[in-house]
Amino acid sequence: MTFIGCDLVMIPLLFPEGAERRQKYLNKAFTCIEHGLSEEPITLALLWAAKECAYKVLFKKGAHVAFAPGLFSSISISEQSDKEGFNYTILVDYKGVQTWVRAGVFDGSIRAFGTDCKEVNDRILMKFGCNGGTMDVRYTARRMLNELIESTFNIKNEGFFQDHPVYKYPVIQSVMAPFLEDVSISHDAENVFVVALKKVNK
Amino acid sequence: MEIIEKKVIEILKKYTPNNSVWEHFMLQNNLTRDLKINSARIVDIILDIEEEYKIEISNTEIEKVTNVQEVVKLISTKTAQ
Repeated sequence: MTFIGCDLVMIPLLFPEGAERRQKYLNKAFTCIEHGLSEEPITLALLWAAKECAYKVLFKKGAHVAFAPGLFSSISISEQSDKEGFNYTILVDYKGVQTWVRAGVFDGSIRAFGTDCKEVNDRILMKFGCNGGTMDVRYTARRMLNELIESTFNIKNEGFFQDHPVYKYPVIQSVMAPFLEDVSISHDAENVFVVALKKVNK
Repeated sequence: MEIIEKKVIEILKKYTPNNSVWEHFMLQNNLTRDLKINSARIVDIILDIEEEYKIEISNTEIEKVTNVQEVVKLISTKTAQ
């Protein structure tokens, strides 16, 4: 099974203000290799998003491990445009295990998704949407997942995820099983980003 | 331990987006899932704790703390050393 992870980062909100605090933050969150790649805020935000994607991919099964950004190291970043506007490919290493991440900058925020198998690009489905002021991310995420399945597989149901808590992975796994191999959801105060991996031969 | 608990909660409250998460607070609450703390703010919390207790918390130690109780236990262990 291939796992995916996504992340949504508001660039201005990521790093603290104040030179001393900011430097301490960067030293804690980024490795020496990453400091060498670039100190630009946008690049650091891209690297942060890539680390979080890798964390989500690797610990999908609910392992009792917290996200320690300093243990994830982006070992390379390359520019390579695609039609969806994801311009960067980042390779992230965690204790010898590598995750491939695609990331892009969209209207002041970073969207990124990663997988543990880079040969899945034609199976990636994604949807980005506004939370619509409801402040209920779960509702918005459920609606977006329903829309993704309905439009991709040309079926009408409107209720695949209706009564399911989308952040409880075993539940979401059972609902998506006929269509999707994996799902990842990320959000900020206003927006929700959903990435899914289509099942093979579906 | 109780003093550390109070201080940790005081630090965490600076980074929780809304106060409603504290209504049914338990020490076992997960920092990101239950208290809704943004993952980017976890680094701020670690820095606040390091400054408050004059300790250094490694990335390997960060990885082991997912809930409030584990944060309190980590501080307690490190300050006793």
